[in-house]
Amino acid sequence: MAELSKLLAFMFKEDKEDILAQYNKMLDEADDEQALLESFGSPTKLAVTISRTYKRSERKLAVEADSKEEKPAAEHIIVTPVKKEKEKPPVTDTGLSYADIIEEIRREKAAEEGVEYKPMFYDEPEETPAEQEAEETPVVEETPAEKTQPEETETEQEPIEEPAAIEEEAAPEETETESNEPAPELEETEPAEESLQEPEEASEEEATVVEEISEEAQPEETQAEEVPAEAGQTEEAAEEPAAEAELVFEEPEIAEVPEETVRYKTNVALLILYLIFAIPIGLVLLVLSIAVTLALLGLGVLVIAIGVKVISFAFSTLVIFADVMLCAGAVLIAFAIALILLWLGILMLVRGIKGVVGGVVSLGRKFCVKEVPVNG
Amino acid sequence: MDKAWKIVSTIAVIALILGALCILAGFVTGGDTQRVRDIFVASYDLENKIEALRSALGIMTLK
Repeated sequence: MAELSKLLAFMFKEDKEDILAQYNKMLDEADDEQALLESFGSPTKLAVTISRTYKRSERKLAVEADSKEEKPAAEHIIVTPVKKEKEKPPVTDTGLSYADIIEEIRREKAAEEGVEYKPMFYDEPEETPAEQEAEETPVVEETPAEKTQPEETETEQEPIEEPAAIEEEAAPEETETESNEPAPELEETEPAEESLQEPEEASEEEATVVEEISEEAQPEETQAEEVPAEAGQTEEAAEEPAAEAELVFEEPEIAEVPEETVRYKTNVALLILYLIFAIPIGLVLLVLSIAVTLALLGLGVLVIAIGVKVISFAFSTLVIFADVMLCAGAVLIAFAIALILLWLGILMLVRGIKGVVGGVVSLGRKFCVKEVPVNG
Repeated sequence: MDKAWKIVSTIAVIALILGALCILAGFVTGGDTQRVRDIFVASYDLENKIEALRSALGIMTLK
């Protein structure tokens, strides 16, 4: 119990104490305590089972609503104090029945105290046939809206809530049978029925009900596991047409490769005439550009040479520092100008000659080569 | 090419600024361009060379 108490740290303190007290009560009242403990399994397993069925968020909401007294009691089922025989705790192998046991005990306690019963757990496994509930409903006081609801447990509802849209498409029949009826209503019907029957029969029937529930719980779980799988299938099925559509749109793009509808036709006579004039003019322009380039480079080199001469004269001949500074300033300015001249010469050498040659070629292509459509 | 032009232009601008500062400092400290010119002409004997050039050009024009 101490280990279980540690493992249930996620619960509200009140709930945890309540559960532990109920388990202690069950152990105290059990004839064979060891057998009951073995039926519970390990504390970890028991805690996991409780955590799976513990409705913490709704419990929190319920607590807040109780504190503010704003939440209507319509959602909760008012249990009439029904005196029933002491029930034997059902011993089953599935951990889901423990929550039922606890809920039964809490319901009984609430009925004895005459207070409103509030469910603590999700009631996953409890699902009774519709006929059984129809027989049991006269004993239980329900809210009017909940009476005609078909019976389905929240165990089946809540895992399906997320893929609800997919499930509606994939399995509309299941959604039709689902209901919003809270699960505790189903549980309340069982003790009510027991009150009408003999104690032995009640205990036997409840045991069978629990066994049926445990048997039904597995298909439900498998069904709940199948729902995401079906959802994945539907998603894949939805993606396949999209992929096909993309392929359909991609193929025309590939097919829209522009075909060569134009070919180039050279006018040879015009080309010869052009070459007659273009070659001399191109050569002149080329020589001019080279001359300008050489002039710029020579001027730059000359300026640098003069600067070197002047600076050497200044430091060798001049004795006045102010005159040396004047010469040094002039030489620095001359070097700056020479640097710019050299750069312009290099620029002319690279771009000027290249531009002249390229211009002559492009001009000849423009004049002598024409685009002719293939079909035309 | 543009990067080379940026480097060249930066160096040229720096050289111009330094030259201007040097000339300014020379004038501030009492430099004289006429004195520098006289020393330059005297050191390279430019006076006689210029005179010889003028005479040569005069002979050529007379012919």
